[in-house]
Amino acid sequence: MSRRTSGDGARAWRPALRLARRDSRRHRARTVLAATLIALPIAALVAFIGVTASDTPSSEQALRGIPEGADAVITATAISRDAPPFVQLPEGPPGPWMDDAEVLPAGSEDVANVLDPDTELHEYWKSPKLIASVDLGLAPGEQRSAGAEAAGLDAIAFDRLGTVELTEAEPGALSLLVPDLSAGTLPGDANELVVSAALAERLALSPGDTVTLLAPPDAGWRSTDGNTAAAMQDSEHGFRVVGVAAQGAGGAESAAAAGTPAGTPAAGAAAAWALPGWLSGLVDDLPEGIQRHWLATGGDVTWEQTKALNEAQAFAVSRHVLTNYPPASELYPVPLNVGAYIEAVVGIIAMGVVGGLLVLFLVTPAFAVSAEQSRRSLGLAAAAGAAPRDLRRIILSQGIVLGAIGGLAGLALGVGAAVGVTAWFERLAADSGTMAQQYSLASLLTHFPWWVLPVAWPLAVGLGALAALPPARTAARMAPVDALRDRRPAAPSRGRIARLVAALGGPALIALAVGLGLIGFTVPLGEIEMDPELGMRGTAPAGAQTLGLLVAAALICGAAGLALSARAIIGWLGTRGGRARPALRLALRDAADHPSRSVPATLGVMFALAAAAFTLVTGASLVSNMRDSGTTLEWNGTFMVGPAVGVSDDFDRLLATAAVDDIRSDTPEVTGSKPIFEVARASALQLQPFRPAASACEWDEVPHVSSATRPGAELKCVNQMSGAGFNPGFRIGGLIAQSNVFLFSGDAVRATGMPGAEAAAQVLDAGGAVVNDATFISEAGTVRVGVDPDMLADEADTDEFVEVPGAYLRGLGTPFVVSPGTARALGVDATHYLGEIATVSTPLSDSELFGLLDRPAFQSLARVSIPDSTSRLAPANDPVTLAVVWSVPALLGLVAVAAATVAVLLAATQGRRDAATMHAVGAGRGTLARLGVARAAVMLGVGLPLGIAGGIAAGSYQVAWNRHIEASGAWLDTVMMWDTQFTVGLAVLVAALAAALLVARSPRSFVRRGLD
Amino acid sequence: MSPVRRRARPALADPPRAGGAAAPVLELRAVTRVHGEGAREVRALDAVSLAVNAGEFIAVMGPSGSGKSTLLNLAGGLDFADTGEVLIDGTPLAGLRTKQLAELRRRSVGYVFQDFNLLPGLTAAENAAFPLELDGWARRPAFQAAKDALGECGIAHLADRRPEYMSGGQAQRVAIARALVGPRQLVLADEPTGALDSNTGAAILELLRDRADRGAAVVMVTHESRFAAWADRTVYLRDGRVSGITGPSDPGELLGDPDAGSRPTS
Repeated sequence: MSRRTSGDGARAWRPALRLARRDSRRHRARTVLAATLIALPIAALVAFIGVTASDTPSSEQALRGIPEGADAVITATAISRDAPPFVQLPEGPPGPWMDDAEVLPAGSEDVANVLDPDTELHEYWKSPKLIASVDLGLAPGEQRSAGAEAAGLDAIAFDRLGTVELTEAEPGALSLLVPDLSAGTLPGDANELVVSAALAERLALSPGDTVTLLAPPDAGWRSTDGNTAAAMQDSEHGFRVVGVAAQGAGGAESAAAAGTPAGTPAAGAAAAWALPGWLSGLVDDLPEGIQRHWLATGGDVTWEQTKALNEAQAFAVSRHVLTNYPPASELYPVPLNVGAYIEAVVGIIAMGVVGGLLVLFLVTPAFAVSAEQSRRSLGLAAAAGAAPRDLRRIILSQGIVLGAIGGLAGLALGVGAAVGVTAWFERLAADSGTMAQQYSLASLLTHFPWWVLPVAWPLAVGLGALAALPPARTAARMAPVDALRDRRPAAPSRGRIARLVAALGGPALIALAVGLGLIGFTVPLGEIEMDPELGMRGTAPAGAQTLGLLVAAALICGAAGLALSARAIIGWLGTRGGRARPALRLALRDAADHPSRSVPATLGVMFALAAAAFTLVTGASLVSNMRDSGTTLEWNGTFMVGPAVGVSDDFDRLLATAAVDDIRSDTPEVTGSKPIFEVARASALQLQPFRPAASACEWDEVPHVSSATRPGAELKCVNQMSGAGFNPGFRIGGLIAQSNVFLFSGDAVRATGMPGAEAAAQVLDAGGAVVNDATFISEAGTVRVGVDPDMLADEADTDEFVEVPGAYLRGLGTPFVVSPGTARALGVDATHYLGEIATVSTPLSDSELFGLLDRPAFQSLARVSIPDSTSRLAPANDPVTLAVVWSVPALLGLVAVAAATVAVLLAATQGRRDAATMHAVGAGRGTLARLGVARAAVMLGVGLPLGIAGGIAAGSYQVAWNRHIEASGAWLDTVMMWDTQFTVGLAVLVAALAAALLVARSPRSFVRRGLD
Repeated sequence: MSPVRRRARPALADPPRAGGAAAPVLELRAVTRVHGEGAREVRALDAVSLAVNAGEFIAVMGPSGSGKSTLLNLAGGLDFADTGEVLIDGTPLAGLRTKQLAELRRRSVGYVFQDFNLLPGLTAAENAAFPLELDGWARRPAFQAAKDALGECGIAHLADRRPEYMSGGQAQRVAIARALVGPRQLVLADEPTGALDSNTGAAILELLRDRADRGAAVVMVTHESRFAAWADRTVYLRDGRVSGITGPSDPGELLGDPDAGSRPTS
């Protein structure tokens, strides 16, 4: 009679663990490989969570924005008092807001009434971008109107000019806002100035010099500081420089890190500080629509007081509030976009599932090999009385032990990687001077989420156990006789139906997936309700849940079908390899005979490539969708230069042409330039295009992207908040533009080098108009132009309509273009200069164009516009965006290579004895290397085409689904990226075969390992 | 277009006539092989000289660790002597490159292992044809030769069976077929009967004997003197040195083995 105690269970594991430990030692290479495969994803997880969760909390960033010595930064907005109270976070406003140009913000008294009596308020003012020069000739304190022509600027060399942002502050605020001085003193009166090191360097300023600041004409655009530009326009003032602020020191740096809530410019920017006088005086004369700013000192500003300020459409960023963060119950409720939340959760789960599966596919083969190599030991254990459960435990123990060891290594690696990555980010931010200092080693040490360690370690152990489970079950089912003879268990004989199911199960599931996917499109979808204020979906449309289930079922069936098909194909190839050359025949049989190793590896290749192909299709289709839905800039290898601060047409033109000349000096492809104008705000008559009556949508509707971008397509109108609506905008002109009608000569359009530019230029030369919305063109090929004294007049109020020849051209950067001559003929009597478009003999490359943005000569005075990225996958040309976008398919390709390589390595380890036999009967090193390559080729031959085809199919389905829903755009085109798909596949193939060749290299001698 | 390499199966060479002056198929000249270094140094073979002629069947005996397997590995070009020379058909192996050695093993040397060492993914015919296919033979003649070899070993009916579905004796016959296939002049067998019962073992030895009688040189390592009795000569190794060589009639004189000398007459 057996006696069982509570300790029996634990004791039963002891011999299993002992055997597992011995086996791990015996097969060190395989042990290290398995532990590494577990350690790497754990390290990646720990590093990712460590870095992202240790970034400086937003409250700390907001705290940095409060100058040392101040208790709070308070801003009064020009939002109407009749509107709902300002809703803020303790860190500040949740996003941008729209000031009302007619509204007077809360004043000092209003704010003081809310605060404690002891709290002192020190007001400061911020200017828009100004021109600074030492050659304008104004004495300190001298102030005058700059005049429409900004007299005097034309005669000044550009290197004697700069741009600057001025902050005026009351004495109590000035001492707190100005960074540490490297020379001189703080201003003693309103005519003295402290300048930043960047401005001092640009204009060679030092204490005692005189400098004039000039406010440009107001372009009419309103940025975040309301009407300030209008208040200051065409005014200039002379200052005496009394101090130079140290570059990137003190408050300026802190402010830069926090997004400059305190009003101090970023480190390295051209800035100046003065006592109230010029700017504050001009604002006092026109206070409506201009925000007001204060620093509060001498008393805490509480969350209750902050909320009271919100009632007055003001907000505060308070040191007290941020260091005593209010409980959630006292914060304003945050509206939750349920759809976005669900999408995010589903996205995270999908990524987790795919990532977890890929890791399992990589790790499982190692344990499968372990089980096979331990077959004889397991048989001996079975003969000695071990029950199937004990055999299962032996293999499971290996998984658990390796998971534990790999997990510990992963934790160490992850923490190390987190430190390394954070240090790198910190260095990048410090070097750039403009990036937010979001990551720092100090913050990492303070905020590292240590909880991730006790969570990740069991995860690693679980991963090891999970990967070992299928081989463990196989071991438990092994017949002792087979095991003792080291013979694979005989495959159970299958009936005809079972064989048919095994062969056709995969294709049947794929067919089912396609069927479910197609049914999904036929399920009626209810109307998506629009919230007119927020412009977002209020509730999910009826039928969405059913559709969601169908889509999920289709994807699961598709993935399972591909997996089963891969297994069936590998088995079939094993039976059909008889006529192949010896190495390939052995590889085919090896794959078929060891499905527990070859199938997971093949699935690893397949799913990694499927994910890569899916990313390429959806990513490229997304970029295409983004480009379709708005105004694009598709000039062919050329660029535009305009002033950063518009002063006068003459000055701006001198500046722009000088900038083009400067670029020409070292860019021989640039041959000259053509000017671009717009209808000036001052013109007696304004122009505006109107759609033909037949193409008119309702007042709250806009044309569907398909109608706007496909000339001749049937008109389809959608709600103006629909994602599928065409939303034209401006890609050139920037903040200096005054109107909506740009004037291109035919030659200026030709300079763009775009396909269709010549035809459009001819239309312009013939007195016609060019539009980027095809619905403006009538069946007769004309555009109806309204002529009226008011800009943007309603159709009903427009005085006169003129039909002119029309041309559709996407990518010009602006919705509606006529030539300067046509504008004059239609009654426009004033134009405004925007800049120069360069003419090029050979189109410049993306990188050459991108390089123009960093040219130092005209950096602060001129603004360069470059066309959109020509990359099909990246929305921008900058190296960071390109790297981020391409890293995803590249990493997935590497996972595919790793899956194939690991499997080949394991096969080589497992097949060492066979390799020795082959060597003994006359196989050379070349044959053994070919065997390794053939093993990889089998997995790649099955996994690569299935994976890429599956990924393209799933990506196409995703795009078709998005097109069906039209929630995030029209998604008119499915961009397959065939060439890139081919390149990725080829690269993975070549890399994996090369890696297989490396790992399959035969050892120097087989004698002691295989034959003795 | 590269020419397809085809070779007709060469006939076995005629056995040398008695008193002929043909060069030995296998010759070891003062061969020394040392494993390990310093305190762990093991002199596996120490100045061993041996010549095996065509048509001669040599048995190598000795206690464990005496250097039997090392001798066989050196003879097959799988291992290299530290000093001395190993020659096959008069060609010193030391001067051959890895590729030439592999070619030599494919064409001139057949190796039989104690535990068969068949490639599990291949059928019996594919295993037997493997060296020929590696040598560039076209599929059809290679498989015909393999089937002939299997037929010689009495297992032609197992041509399409894979090793895992064979008994030990069947597997060893396949291994011998693989060693005999093609124009092999030298067969090296490392305890080919070690994993077999005595009847099956005797049948395997009969195959090797037959091969020797047809002109091949056969070297067999064995622990059992009753199997050594099948050989023309027996070489005794002890501590890496040849401690004696005796003819077929008197192997028991050296070992004192009552079973020795029971070579059946054929």
